[in-house]
Amino acid sequence: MQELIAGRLEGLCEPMKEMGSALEAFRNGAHRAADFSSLILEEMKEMGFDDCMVDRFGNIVGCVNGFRHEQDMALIFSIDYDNGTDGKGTDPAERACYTPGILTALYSAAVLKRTLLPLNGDLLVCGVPRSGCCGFGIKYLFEYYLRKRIRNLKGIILCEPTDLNLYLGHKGRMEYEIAVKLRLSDGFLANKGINMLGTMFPLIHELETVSRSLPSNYAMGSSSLQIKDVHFCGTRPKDAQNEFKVVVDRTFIPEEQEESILERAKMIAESVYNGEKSVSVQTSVAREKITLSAGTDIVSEKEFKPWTIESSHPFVLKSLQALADNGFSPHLGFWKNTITEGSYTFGELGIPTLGFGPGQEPEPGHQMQQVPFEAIKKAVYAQTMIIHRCIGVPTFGWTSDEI
Amino acid sequence: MKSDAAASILVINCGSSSLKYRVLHMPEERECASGEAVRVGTRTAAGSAILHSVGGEKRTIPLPLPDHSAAFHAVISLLNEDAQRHPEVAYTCFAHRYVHPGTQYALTAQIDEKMIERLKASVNLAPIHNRISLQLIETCAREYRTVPQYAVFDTSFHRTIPPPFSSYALPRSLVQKYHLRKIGFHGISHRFIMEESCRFLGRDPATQKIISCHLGSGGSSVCALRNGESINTSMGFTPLEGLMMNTRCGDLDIGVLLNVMEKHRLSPQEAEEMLNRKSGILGVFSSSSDMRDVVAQLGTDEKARAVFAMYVRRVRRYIGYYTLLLKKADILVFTDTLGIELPLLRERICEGLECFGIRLDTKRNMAADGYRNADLTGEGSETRVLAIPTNEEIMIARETFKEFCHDHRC
Repeated sequence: MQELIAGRLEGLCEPMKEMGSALEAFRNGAHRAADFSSLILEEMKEMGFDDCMVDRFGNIVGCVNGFRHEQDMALIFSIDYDNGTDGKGTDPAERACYTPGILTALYSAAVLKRTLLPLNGDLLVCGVPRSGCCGFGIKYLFEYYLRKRIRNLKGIILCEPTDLNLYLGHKGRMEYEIAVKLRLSDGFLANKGINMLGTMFPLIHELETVSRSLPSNYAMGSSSLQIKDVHFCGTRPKDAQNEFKVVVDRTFIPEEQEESILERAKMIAESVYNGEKSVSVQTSVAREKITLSAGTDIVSEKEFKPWTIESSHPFVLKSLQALADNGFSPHLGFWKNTITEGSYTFGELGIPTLGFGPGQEPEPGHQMQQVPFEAIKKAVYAQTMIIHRCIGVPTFGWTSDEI
Repeated sequence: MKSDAAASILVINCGSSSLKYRVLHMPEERECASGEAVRVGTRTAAGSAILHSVGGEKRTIPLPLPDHSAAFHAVISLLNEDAQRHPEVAYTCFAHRYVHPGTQYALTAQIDEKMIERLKASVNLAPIHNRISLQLIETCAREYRTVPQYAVFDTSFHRTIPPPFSSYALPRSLVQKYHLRKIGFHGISHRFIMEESCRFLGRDPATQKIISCHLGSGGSSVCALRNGESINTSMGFTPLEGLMMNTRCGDLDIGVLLNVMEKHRLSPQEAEEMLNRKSGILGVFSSSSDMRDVVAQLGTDEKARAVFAMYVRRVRRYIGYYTLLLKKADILVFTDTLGIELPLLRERICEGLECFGIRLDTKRNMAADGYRNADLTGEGSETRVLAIPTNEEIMIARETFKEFCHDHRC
């Protein structure tokens, strides 16, 4: 079987290189994300996927039909959210789209399709739009198109950078706002001549102090806190509607609860301004208004829950064994900076999920390094083996040789 | 059957990366066209191509062949072109070699939708081979509705093996649950060898006891045939059992496997890789899995001598066993690549078998060219010893033609 898969993979090298170049050209050029999706969809058709479509939320779904209908498996990669612009304004470091992950997902399914190795269930290849730290696409994918398949899913592979290791989760990430309402009067810092902007500094300073002593987890490292933005409205003295907001980008380990993070942020703000009488503090998860390519507006909270699957989970053990049996030496790890759809698929739906892909995850704020083609090819081979081990019909006693 | 019955049968024989085809005009078994699509779905320095031959003219046509379906379409379009100039190339039906249908089908049969559905259930029995054949069967059913197609099964010839020989001594519940029994393979080849050897000697297969040694450069098996039926064969539930092969270990004490799995902490997949891909000739000889390389180095390499002796001993063991089973064979036949190309191998296998009434004529043995049927019987031998090139496609065409005539009331 190995030589059969390796042979088919060799046959797909040229299309894979061409597709890689086309995807990169799209990402670096002034093109709409919708066209990017069309390119992926076309390639799915070209590779002989049995079914492929784009839903109204921009999720791309391709399916390689199994020979039976026992247990399905899904590969998920991220694509940039199509906000109707030409994509020029997006900071490359903020982009969700990870081209090597797309190639790994598409071509491991294509390899299996071409080997004709029978599968016990369908293989779903899903491109999910994501915006910043807001995973709206995955929710709709599972609430609509894949709703009936949830029970049947044996496992999900997230095609994100793991350097050919298996990653089992990551910290949570959320964006929250601390909204402080106050009156610039009654001696509220007025004697110092400080304006609204200046009134924020004590809170920002305190948050930065707090950020240096956040809890940590043995596997995932420390939580983090960064001031992402500040804005205010109203600067008139004696106006009770004056308000400023501090937007915080927070990552957090599983031991922390979102509610307590918000509660704590509120307490910090209240303690900073506790000498003032006319201050009210509110904290909430930031929301993002998303306009879908179909024209629909949705509002989504900007948060990803932390998640971690047990290293002794059968899906993890099987995948690990499949890699080891094929000459890989993977270790188990966690993403430090990347957020994934695992927050939803495992964190909320409980579907066994793990990450696998070529290339190392970038440092925060940095662009992904180029991944050599050979590493992508290796990842395709390895991922094909994982899929076959999990949902393939065993080929014990048989080789692809002449009998 | 009327005497004027005729059909041009397109025989399709798929490997994992190849598609062999022959158009045979029946009943005279005249080859009208033949060829092979090579490196299907793979990419090597040479690239995929179709090696096509018609009317004595041979061509190599380089073509992108991403999968078997594409290869099949390319072959069909080539044959359609040829049919303009050579009308006999126009096929009247398709014949597919199907490796393992399980217990559902024992005989060659015309394929209909119901059969396709039933064959789907057999895919896991030979996951690599059955699926490819099934894909082509479905393609034919979808795109060539007017052309009848037939399936000829590699395992059906061994359906006659009696239970004492086909049963495994395992817990009954497991045997029943997983239908564990000796299935046997190379059935089409063994059947051809039976018919061809009897035709060559002018005998009736229904009266003969034959030992057929299919010694391939890949897989090998020995079959005991009595009165036109297979009564035992060396391959088992899968092709792994029996003779030592190029990379397969063949018969093995399962205790050895369990021991190695425990000591090396091997997973079932790693164990399978070891038994199927790293053992046999390759495992012992190391530098090659091809017995022809082994023979070339017999004079200089100790390992070559060791692996040759092991291979010979195992074939002899089966010949001895089947001789007892048949109470002496009337015919011993060698076939397939190693069986017809290596006279030294035949000579060593037959050495000392005089006690079974088997004597080889060394001069005749050395003179056999491997392309034609050869009688290698030594003086005083009670068993006729032959070397006969196998021809599975002819056998598939014969079986198909029989059914075709029956279905069309020829």
